[in-house]
Amino acid sequence: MFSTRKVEKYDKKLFIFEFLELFQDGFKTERERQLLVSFIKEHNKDRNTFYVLEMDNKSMGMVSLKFNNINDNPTLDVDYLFVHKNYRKKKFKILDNKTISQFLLDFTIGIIAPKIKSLVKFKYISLYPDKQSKKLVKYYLKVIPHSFELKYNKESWILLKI
Amino acid sequence: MAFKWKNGKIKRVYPPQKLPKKIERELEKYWEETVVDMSPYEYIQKMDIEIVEGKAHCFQPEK
Repeated sequence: MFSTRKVEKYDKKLFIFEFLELFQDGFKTERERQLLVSFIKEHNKDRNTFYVLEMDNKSMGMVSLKFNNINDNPTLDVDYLFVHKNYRKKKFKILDNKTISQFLLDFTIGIIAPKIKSLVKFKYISLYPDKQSKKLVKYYLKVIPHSFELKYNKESWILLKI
Repeated sequence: MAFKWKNGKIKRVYPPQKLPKKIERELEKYWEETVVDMSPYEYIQKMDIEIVEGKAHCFQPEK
């Protein structure tokens, strides 16, 4: 059974911290660690917004968002999505039996995107599946209802009209 | 994940800026035929989520 950070103090709220924490033991491969390093280097320049999901003082995953465009259509790009290796593929009761990655995507689409859209108009949420894995493309199309696979130049992007 | 690993180096990837007509039409069709449906996300909208704004707690990437 998982509880969230400050669960006793704040009456079972979920906390999403807008700060970066190094997932020191959260990498499965060196590639993953290098990707985070690259992301942070860029973040330090661009100051993207990112959200870290914490429970029990543990950083479980994070999502970073950036503005982009596809064919002159403004998009909100899921720039970086990471889940600590210990929590991958696990479903959590407190997250409505979702995995961390699904929760972070739903959080982006259901909470953050509508807030941003009230300030800045964009048409799609876009996502580039890591390693262009077909399995991952299939997974995203399944967990993001009404999404669309844009194939161009031997690469796939997942788009969601918003 | 808008990065990719190529020849041992990490490269940023960008969405296509200009699409061929055929793909452009597919995208337009998707836009026209898709109804924005937020119902799959109702569960998360009902959750008691607090977004705590914090300062970046950054580590120094290796040079």
